[in-house]
Amino acid sequence: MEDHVQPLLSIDNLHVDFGGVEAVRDLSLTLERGQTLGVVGESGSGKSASWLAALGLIGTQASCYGSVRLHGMEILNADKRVLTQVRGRRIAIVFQDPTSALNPLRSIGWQIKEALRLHRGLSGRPLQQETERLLTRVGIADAARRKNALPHEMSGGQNQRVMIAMALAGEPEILVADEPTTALDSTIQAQILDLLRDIQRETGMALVLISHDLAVVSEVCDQVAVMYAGQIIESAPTAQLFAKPLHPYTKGLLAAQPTLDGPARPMRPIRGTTPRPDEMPSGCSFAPRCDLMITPCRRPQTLRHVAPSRSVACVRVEMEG
Amino acid sequence: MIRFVAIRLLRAVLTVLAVALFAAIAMRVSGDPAVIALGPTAPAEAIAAYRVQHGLDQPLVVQIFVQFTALLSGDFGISPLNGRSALQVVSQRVPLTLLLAIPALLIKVLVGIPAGTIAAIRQNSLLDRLVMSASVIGIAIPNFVIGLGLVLIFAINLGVLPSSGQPNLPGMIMPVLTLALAGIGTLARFTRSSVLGVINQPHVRTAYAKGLTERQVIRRHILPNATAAMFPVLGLMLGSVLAGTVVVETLFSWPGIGSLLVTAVANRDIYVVPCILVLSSVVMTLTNVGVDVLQALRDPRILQRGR
Repeated sequence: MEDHVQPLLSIDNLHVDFGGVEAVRDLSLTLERGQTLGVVGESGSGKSASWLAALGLIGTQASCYGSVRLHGMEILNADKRVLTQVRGRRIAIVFQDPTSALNPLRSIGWQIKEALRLHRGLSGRPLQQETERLLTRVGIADAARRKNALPHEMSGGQNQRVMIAMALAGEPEILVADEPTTALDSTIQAQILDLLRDIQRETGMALVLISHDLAVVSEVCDQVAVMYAGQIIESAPTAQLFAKPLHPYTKGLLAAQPTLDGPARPMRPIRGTTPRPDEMPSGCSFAPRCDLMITPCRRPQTLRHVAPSRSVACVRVEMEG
Repeated sequence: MIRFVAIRLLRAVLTVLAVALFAAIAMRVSGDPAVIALGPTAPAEAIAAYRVQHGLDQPLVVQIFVQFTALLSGDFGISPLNGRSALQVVSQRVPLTLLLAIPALLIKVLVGIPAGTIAAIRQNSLLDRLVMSASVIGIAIPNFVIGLGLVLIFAINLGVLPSSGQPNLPGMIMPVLTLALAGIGTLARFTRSSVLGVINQPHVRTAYAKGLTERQVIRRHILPNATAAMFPVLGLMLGSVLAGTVVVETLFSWPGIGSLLVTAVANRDIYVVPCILVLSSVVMTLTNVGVDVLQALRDPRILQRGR
């Protein structure tokens, strides 16, 4: 019974600290079964770091505090044995640059088989068949032959398909896609996004799509979390976020996007630059760039619920009520 | 691949040609073969007769060309020291040198690679610093000092090992150790830097993200890729089995190629010296071609990069 109340994954007050420089500050979110969550932010906003930290993949230079629970089980800074049970099997991750994310000296088939043996204990004929089925599923034609190819013999888009196939090998409950299309041509980008969406629907797994591109995220995700300077500053269902952004940064982000449909309008960039992590403002981190800044903005802002599935970290939103 | 191998072989042949040419020139200009053959006290007529008989009255360029073609056809001449063919003299010593060089190479690989790997994986740990300091010491101290140190401890003070010369197991221990010690350091440092080069590559993070344990990641992803990058160094070490033992053999009066070379040079044996030069250059270039091919088989991207 309790299992139904518990979210699939909950992150509470996560901090990721690189030697005194906080990449992620007080991040909290929950992910439900089958949910598609987009995480949007500029580079350095902590959008990747938070998920790498959750899986213990961020390296030894970083210290992580807070809590990340999967079905209520704490996995942040967990024992290696716990993490190897989680990685790939329950939470799989797909990285940005697929060609360097694959071992250059092993065939793509070898790399998928390694995951299948590890998580599903397959061997022999079934192992071959499942490898080919996964490759075919992600859209690699002639899988029986192509599985022997090395990553450098494939295109970036094909390698990203291989990465996705490898991630599916463990039949995970959550797939984290960290900028999966950033290194790819825009035509391939759309194909990979379609593939991710189709697979998500087919398997019912939760999908976390990390991107600097609002448009990419809006194509696939039901819910979007916008990150700025290590914090989530707004979280909302995708349609609502586009229709009525609440945080000034989100508004600025949308205004800075080119539009393909609707009347042409000038793109408005947000003035100023992201604060450097070592000189973070003591109050709202966006305040120095915000046109609406008032005195209460000098105090730190935390994410507050303002409507079902909507929360925002801006004092002005509450005042407007 | 065929093109790749052909180019490597061509380069190897050119290298050997260059060495042979150098050897021929050095042979001819380093002394008068007639005087060397007949001895400094030989009468002038005998020397003159020898010159005509052996073509030494020809112009220098012609003589060098004749020597050069002889070296290439495997005709290394007769050693004046003992009247036997230079090739025979040299090849007799080859097994003795290999008896030192091959165990030493095995020790270098079996100790150096694991030590470097552990140092890289536990980067900046006490163990890492220990391994790296030991390697620097091993590299910095000249071979003969290490050898003399060993002799001082084990032959003179403890008296447990013979200080020189006998081609048997106790006699081998110190020369092999001396050879190995410096190489271990070099190999440990190379291993450490190639492992570090692989550890931070994105595909290693993928391997962890898959759910592999650290041990599995090291065994299946880090080490195989790091050793592929180390092939050239291993090739050099393998290639120098014939030529790399000069100091140690002299120090322990080990009757291998190294000490033969020293005696031959000292006695101006103009037939044995070129023979050793050409033979060791053949071994060096052939092992390097072999290693290049192995590396290309392991990492076919090499075929696509510059040739």
